Amino acid sequence: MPMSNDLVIRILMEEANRASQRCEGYRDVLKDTIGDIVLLESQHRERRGQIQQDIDAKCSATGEWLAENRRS
Amino acid sequence: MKILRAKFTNFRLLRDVEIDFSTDPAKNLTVIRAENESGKTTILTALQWGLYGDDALPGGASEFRLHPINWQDSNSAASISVEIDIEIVRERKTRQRKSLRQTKVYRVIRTAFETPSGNEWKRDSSSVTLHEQTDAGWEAIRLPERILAEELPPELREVFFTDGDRALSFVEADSRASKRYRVERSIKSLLGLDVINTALGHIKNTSRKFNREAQDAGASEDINKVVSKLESVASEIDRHQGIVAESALSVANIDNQLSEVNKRITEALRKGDRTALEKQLSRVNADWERVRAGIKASSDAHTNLFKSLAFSRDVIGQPLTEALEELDKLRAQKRFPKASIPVLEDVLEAQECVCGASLDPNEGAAHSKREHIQALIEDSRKADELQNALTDLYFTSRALLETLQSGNDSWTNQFNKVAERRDDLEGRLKDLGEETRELEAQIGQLSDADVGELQASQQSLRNMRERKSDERVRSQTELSHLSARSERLSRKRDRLLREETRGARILANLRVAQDVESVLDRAYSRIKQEELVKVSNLMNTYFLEMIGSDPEQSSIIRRAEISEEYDIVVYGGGGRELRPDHDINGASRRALTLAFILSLTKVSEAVAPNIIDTPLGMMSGYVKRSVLETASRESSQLILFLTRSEIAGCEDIIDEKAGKVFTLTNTGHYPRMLQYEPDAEVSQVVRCACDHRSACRICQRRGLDSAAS
Repeated sequence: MPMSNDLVIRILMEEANRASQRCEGYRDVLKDTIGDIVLLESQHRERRGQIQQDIDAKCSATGEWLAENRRS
Repeated sequence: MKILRAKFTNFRLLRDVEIDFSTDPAKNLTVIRAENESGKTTILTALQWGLYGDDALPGGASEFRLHPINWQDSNSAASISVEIDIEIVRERKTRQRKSLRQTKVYRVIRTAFETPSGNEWKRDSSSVTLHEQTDAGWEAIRLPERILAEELPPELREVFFTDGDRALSFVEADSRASKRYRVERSIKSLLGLDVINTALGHIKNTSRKFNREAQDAGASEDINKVVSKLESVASEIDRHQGIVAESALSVANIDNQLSEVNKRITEALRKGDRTALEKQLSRVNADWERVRAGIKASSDAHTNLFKSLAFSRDVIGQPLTEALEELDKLRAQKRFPKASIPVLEDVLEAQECVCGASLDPNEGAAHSKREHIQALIEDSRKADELQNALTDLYFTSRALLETLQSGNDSWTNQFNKVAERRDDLEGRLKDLGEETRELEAQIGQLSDADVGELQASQQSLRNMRERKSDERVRSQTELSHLSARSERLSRKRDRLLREETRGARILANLRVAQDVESVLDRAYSRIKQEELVKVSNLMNTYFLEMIGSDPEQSSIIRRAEISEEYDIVVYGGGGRELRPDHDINGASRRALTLAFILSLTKVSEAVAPNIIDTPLGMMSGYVKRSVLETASRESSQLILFLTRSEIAGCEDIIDEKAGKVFTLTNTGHYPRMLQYEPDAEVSQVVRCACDHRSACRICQRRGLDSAAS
């Protein structure tokens, strides 16, 4: 993990802006999810066993948000 | 991250030393002035031990003594500690999902107990504590190693803590592969490529999990079938991606080996290819034999020329012509040939002269006549012999002259031609002799490197490269088919999921995982392509500025770059590659290393200290000043350990850039090197407040400093 993740976060956010807007506000939620994943990666370097579940949970939560917002 | 303060206790010569570092952005340079054996490298080691633990000790923890060598009580354990205050900017999310940046100050304390025992010592693993500064004081933090590892990745230790020798490992290493590995590791870590790559691995697993969920959710038979196929395609994609990555790595390694072999072949061929040289020698020897035979033939021709008609013609032709002219005249006068002797002999035999007088030998009067005629015969006989000779001469010479006149080329011309050819051949023989000696000398100087073997190995590497490239292309083609198939199956699965209410949620999960994967993938490619180029360009700018090279002028060094394979490469005039570890001087090598470290830190936008031991050691004049100016301008916090000789000539830059300057002195240097007797009872390193322009009773050195202030 870089000592400053500014560069990585900036580029990830720029790339997230190119993602499909599946429903209103989706890109912002996706950006948060990606930012959280990067933070998880940096915080969990020493705890590899846990990170997969955490990332699954993040994506699942965002998926739930997407499913609900598409229905509405 | 910035280092604010450090305190060292019983760490080798540092029995009790405290240092505070400049954090002023306008004056970000801290200069620690110290001569040899005055604690520079020890402080660098102690800082790394404090932050990174026992693995950071030189040569491995078990080999490295920590307590002072002159520890008084050989039976009591030395308590060693390093206390470092650091400032870290941390990011956290608010409940409203906003990012907040907070500056926090931590105190890292690493301790160890070491018990000396004769020349040996015993030490358990060190322990570390981490405290956060709060309004209530210092609060202990759990899992200090994890927080330190997050903020100070071990793979970046060489980037931020640099001693003169180790720094060169980026440009100067036992092999190109190890240099490449170090450069690649630093770049990937500092630019965040490794974290994206790890996240990509995790998100792929997440996608698989959601896929399985779709299958396990008891969905329709159709969905199960599609999901099973997708799983299988995903595994195949993984396998082929592995092949592509492995073959790309193999090709890069083979290219590396090929480059080495090519260099060895070029080097060997510069000295000479033994087989080719021996063939050439054999040809030269054959030529020599042929030329020698030619010279012998010319010599024979030369000899034969003296026996030739042409020689006769050229030597006697003229006088013979003149003689024939005279003979012609005599012949015209009928002076030869003559036929009077038979008439006179007939007269004597008939005993009667043509005039009627008696020539009877019995007559007294005839006797004198007969004697007269006899004398005439004798005279005539003598004259005829001459005439006969003249006659023979005449006809022989005439025939000879006719023969001689029939030749076209003069003897002199023929002689010159033969002589010219012989001279020519002798010159050629001499040249061939010299060529033979040169070839023999070259063969004698040939190293054991067998060009033939190297060429065979080159060919074998080329074949391997071709195989691996084919393998990669095949897998890439397969990947493209598999990706298309995966997309078709995904569309079908999505359609089926959409048709089922319970599938909508799983479909949404899958969409999110796909989107995250796609964003991570694009970011990875972009950082690798764009940011690596930025690091490379910036490194080139810093490097050329440091060494004062102008690419437009006739400078030896024109350009430096980081290749896509993570090699640091330097180019001279005409685009010729210069090997940093052989073709550029020590000062330039250090400048190149610093330029790489500074550019990488800059592009990564990392806020981190650059702590460098004796960076200006091999430099002088322009390069020294320029390196110091560039490093202090481009680093967010620069901490330099400098000797007085490194400082010399840079005092004005230190005046301008340094927020803190102080001096370390080894009291053990008294009386040989120090002017005044120290107060300390045992040898140790002490700190005084003297800057780069002053000296006191603690630090004043004989012959180096002016009177203590």
